[in-house]
Amino acid sequence: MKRLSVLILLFTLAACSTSKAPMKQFYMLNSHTPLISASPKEVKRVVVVDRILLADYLKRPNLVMQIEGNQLYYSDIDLWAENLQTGIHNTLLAWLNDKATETRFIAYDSPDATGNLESLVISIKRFMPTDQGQVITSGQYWHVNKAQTDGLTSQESFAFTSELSQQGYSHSVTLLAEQLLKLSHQIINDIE
Amino acid sequence: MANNGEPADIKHVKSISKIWLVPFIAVCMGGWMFYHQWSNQGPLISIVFENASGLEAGKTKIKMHNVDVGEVKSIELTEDLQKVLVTARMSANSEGLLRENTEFWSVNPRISLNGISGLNTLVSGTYINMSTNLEGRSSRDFVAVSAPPITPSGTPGLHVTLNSNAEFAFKEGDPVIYKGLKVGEFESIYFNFDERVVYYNTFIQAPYHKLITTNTKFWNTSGVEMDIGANGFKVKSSSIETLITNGVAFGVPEGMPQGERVNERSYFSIHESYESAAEERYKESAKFVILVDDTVRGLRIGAPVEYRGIKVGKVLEINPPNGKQHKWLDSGVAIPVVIGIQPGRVEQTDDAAGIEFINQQIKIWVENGFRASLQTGNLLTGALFVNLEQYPNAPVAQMEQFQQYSVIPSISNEFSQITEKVSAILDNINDMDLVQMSSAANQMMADISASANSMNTTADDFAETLKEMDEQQVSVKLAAALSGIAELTRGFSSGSKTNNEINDTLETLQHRLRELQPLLLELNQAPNSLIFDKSPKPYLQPGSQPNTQQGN
Repeated sequence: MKRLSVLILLFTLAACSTSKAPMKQFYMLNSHTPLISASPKEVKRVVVVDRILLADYLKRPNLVMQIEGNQLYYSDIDLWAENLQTGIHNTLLAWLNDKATETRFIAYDSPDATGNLESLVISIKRFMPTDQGQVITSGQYWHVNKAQTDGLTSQESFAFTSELSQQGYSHSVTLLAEQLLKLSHQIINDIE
Repeated sequence: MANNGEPADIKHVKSISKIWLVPFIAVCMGGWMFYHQWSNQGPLISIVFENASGLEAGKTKIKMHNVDVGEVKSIELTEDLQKVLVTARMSANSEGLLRENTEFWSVNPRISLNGISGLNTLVSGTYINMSTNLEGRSSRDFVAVSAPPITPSGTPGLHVTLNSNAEFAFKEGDPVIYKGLKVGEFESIYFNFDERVVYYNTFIQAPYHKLITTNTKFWNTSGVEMDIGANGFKVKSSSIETLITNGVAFGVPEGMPQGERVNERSYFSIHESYESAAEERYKESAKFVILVDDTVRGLRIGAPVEYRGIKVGKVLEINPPNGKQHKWLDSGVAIPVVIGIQPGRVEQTDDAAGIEFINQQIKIWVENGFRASLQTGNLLTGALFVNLEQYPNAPVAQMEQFQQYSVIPSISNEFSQITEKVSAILDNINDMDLVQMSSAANQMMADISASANSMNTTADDFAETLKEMDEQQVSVKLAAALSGIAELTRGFSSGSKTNNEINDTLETLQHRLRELQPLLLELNQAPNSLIFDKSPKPYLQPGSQPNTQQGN
């Protein structure tokens, strides 16, 4: 009887045990951005980079992947280390200031932003890898100049595609960060 | 059979042929039928009619209770050519029905206020109806009545004679009502020229004839009875039948004994109404006179005499004619009104002893302030009644004599009292010095006006003062409030400690929410995943094929 009670207790405890949960992975976009942006040689204008307009499906902390054409897969293990909206904003702001020569870009929550007439509004529609071995970034941006009569200077679209050479989310995040660098170049070319 | 040539032996038969039996039987049957017809036929009677309208010889039947009892045989004019003589053969068993008071009448369609009768003759043809009460001598000659008798002979019941000298008149066939039920009819009318009274022979059907007693009263219930008197406005009607015809009702007034059964042909009077009939229960009354100084317009004979609201009698006469020594046309002379106080109404015996008691009692009361007055019983019609009341403060008075009546002292009626009071008030008003009062009133109004102006000025000044005080206080309070708002705004402005704390709190909250979001999503998809181990989910990586490998 005593042995039977011990066996039952052991089985009960074994039933309560769970398998070990996989370790979560956190990623950040601006790991390769310069720590200190180079000051422009001759600042002709100051442009405020507004809050990034992000598609709703990108507002989740999980890394997302496009599968089978129109489906999305959210990884339970791979997560953004910070809000993607903030991450893109900070990464872009770092690259823009690093590459621009005549323009100084400031954040919308910067103390210098108050009363500035020029602003940049960026809308990200796609920002993810696919199961076809690609990484896609697309969207639009608007350069708003309130000094103009209509208040709108230009409206441009962008779309970048990169081929994955490695497997895993880490490489995808690296390519996404590089595409933000490309976007920075396009914006600087348009503005300056 | 052999024929040997011998002659036949002929025998003469003396008997009658059997063939003669047939006519013999026929003769017997005819004789029997003749005898049967002769023996079964009734007597031959003659009836004199006013005319032979609808009658046909050999066809018109004579009926009793719708049973054929005879048939018209011939119709011919009388010798004087004024009427029609109808000869009819009655049935054999109708011998006993033919009495001297047997009545015959022709039945034709008849429409009257009492109803429609004889409609069946439109199909069957006119016939002669008869009724009898099996009394009187046997008879063969009759005179038909012009209309069906109201009460057929032999109907059980009671005949009474009603009389009335009022203007209303009844006719044959009008109903006699008992508690809304028709129990009899007026049969015939007789007017007595000497008495100027109409007598109505009335028949009350059995068993209701037992209700007719010595104390039974008859009263008119014709149409709708309306009475506007001192007691108000009353509308009364009897049965629907009496709404379109006349009629009388009968009964024993409340409070009277039933009385004894009456004999045939007793006499009763028809009263104007139940109330007047009920008055008959009080036969005796102590008569007094009141002398009215005011008008007697609105007072009528029969008006109630009340003592403290209880009817004790009625007005018998107004200004009795036998008053030679009472010249009421003279100025200031009172009008005599004879009233009767009925002992039966005041719990006394309805006889001479009761009258004597009333006389003595009234005499004592008059000495102690008992007075009579005319009062208005109905404001709408102005009908008056006599009110008897004790007035303790009235001056001492003695009963006087007017003709053969004792006089109950009277006081003026309500209207006269009101008139006197109003006159007194008007006299007082007339005595007032209205000119002086008017000037004083004008002066008072001027003073009031001046006071009102002063109050207006004071009120304006006071309002101005209040306004200034309010403005000063409001501006001080407003400045303090603005200062407080500015201080508050500074506390929440960008860079302030409060603002930084709020921002930090919100960022922390957002961070926690971001951490919670995967858990919430997982719970949304599998609520039991907190307790049970979830099924392995395929782990996908960019650039690779789906596999179930967990983690790196």
